[in-house]
Amino acid sequence: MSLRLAVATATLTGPTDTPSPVEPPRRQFQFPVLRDWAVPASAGAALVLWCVGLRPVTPGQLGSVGLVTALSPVLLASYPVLLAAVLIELTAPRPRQRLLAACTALGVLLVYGLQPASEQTARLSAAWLHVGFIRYIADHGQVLPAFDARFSWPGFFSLFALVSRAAGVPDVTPLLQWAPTVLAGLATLGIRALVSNVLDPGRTAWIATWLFVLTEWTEQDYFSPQATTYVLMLAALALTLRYLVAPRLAAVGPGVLRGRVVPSGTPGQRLAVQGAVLLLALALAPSHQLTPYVLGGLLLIMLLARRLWAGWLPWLVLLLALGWFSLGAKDFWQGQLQMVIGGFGDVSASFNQGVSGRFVGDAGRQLILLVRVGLAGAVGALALAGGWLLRCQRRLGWVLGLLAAAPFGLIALQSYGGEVFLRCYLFSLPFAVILAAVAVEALLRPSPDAWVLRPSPKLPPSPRRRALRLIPVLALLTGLGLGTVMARGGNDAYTSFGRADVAAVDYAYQHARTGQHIEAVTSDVPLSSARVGEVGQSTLETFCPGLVHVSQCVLDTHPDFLLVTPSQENDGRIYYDLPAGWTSALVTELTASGRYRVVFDQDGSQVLARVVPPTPNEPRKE
Amino acid sequence: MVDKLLVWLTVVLLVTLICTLAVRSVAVERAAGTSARFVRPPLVRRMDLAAVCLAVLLLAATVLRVVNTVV
Repeated sequence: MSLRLAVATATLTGPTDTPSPVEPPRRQFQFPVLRDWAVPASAGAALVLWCVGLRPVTPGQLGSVGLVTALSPVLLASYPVLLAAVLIELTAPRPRQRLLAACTALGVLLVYGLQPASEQTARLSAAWLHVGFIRYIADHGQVLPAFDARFSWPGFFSLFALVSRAAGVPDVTPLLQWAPTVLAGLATLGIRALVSNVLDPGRTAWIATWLFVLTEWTEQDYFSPQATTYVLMLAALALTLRYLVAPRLAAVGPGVLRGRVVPSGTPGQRLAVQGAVLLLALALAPSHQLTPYVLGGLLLIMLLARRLWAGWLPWLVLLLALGWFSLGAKDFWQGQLQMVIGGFGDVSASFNQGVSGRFVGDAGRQLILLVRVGLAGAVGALALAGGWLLRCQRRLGWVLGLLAAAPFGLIALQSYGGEVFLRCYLFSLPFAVILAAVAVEALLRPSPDAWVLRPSPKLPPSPRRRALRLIPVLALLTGLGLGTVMARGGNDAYTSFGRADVAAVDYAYQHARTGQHIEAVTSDVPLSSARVGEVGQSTLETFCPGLVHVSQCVLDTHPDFLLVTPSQENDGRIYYDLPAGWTSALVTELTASGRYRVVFDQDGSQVLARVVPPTPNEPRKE
Repeated sequence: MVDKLLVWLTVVLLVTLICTLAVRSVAVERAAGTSARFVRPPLVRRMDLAAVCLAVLLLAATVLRVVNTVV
């Protein structure tokens, strides 16, 4: 009976923070002094290996598998070394929280700082486009009507326009390069706060935090509204779970409570937190199309599970988002309401655009896509196993499972331009990693009996067997981490840029007159980072399907300036199966036509300027 | 003209709803603070009803604005 009581107590307090009641503490670790130094030394060694292995990379050096082929084995070795240090510390009787926090910060740098540290300039054309939007708002004090759907949710752009004007710095380009590291770091902090309020802030919570760091391959952490609103959503969820949810989501007990339980904390604290979540919802509504609805939906699930104290909160979050859609996003839905609501219930269209439609390109590109699917599948499988273990421990797993699965409901609402699966995975991750961490933590336990917190008849294993138990967990985490590094850098052959690409775009901006057109063959150019609404800036990709007869497409659209860069060369080879050197052939054909000449050429980045003005019989095809 | 009216109606309803819920939260916390359990005094019940009505009106105003613009 007393043993049952002890097991129940361990279940309530969480399985991770205190040694199991059946486990004698004397054999926890026999070399504490060695471990005290080994962990920080290993973490330091990982940093040294990473720094030594770093080498500058340009798009021209990369193939269809992306960044991973350009990385040195020394750099890749830093990941298992750091993970080994973290696992050794996590299996210690009293893990040092500050050391684990420092290791996690280092992990964020190693995974999310890899591209900023090795590439010459900020990547992803969308990030550069956001700079252009911010500059437009800073210069004109308003958005450009009917220009881009993203201008209908201008919260993020307006904030940075305000900051740039207040700071007297019109160009926010310097923020781009390291934004993924900073925003992923903030998201990791949010995950840590969120997880600590679902589980105890012990071993499982750290594993969940690390699983997030090692499996967030979606690259939605660039300088963008979705990255900042994701951080805000995590902050709102962490605050809600800390002050407004009772009992905890993973607490022991019946699935549905009879009455609502008053959360811990003073009434003043709860009121302040309700106000803070309302403020965050007010910030989210005009800043992103999806995030406020996801936050409202997640809060609604907590309410339906009778865990949420402030019952009105999810409704207000959703109403604010709808209110903005009606009032502020008129430009977006006017004339294309069918596109917005036409996808309701069309799951097959979402699947075709989000999964099967993405499997295009050469073998390297397909491999990267398979790695992404594999990572998502691994997280899903671990989460299912964790849910089953929670059920065995008589803890409430279904609410967490529902919270992890709920974002996938977006598939039935919208295809979101083929990105809906990616967004679903990202929104699901905060709760999926909690369940997955329960499964990973069970692997570190001394025997299968202890997975469900039953007393084990066997004696605790020797330190050697304990160390051997770390190996499969280390292999699993290393596999996830390297998979994420590979998946995140998988598109870098065409999504990363060199300094010469930026110089080419700047040249075009300096020489283009108002009303003229700057065009790129594909969208992989740091275009639209300035002179938005003043100079036409577009790509041939939509006008010239498959980039067949691309020189004829250029002559038909006759832009005033044409940008040709190594990233576009890679894109054509990987996506459209064009032969190597197709951009050089294009430049040769255009110059031979006598209508264009090369006016800028630096490290393979070229600007072609039109020398013959179009005749009135040659209207621009758009 | 109708569009402007609907915009103002939406804004007014939204602000009223937020104010109602703020007052309601304070009342609930006061009641919970003294009894340490979830109770709904008559004032809170009335405000809940008012909030539901306001939310329905707000939703209707939102939909009306969209329909009025599109049709």
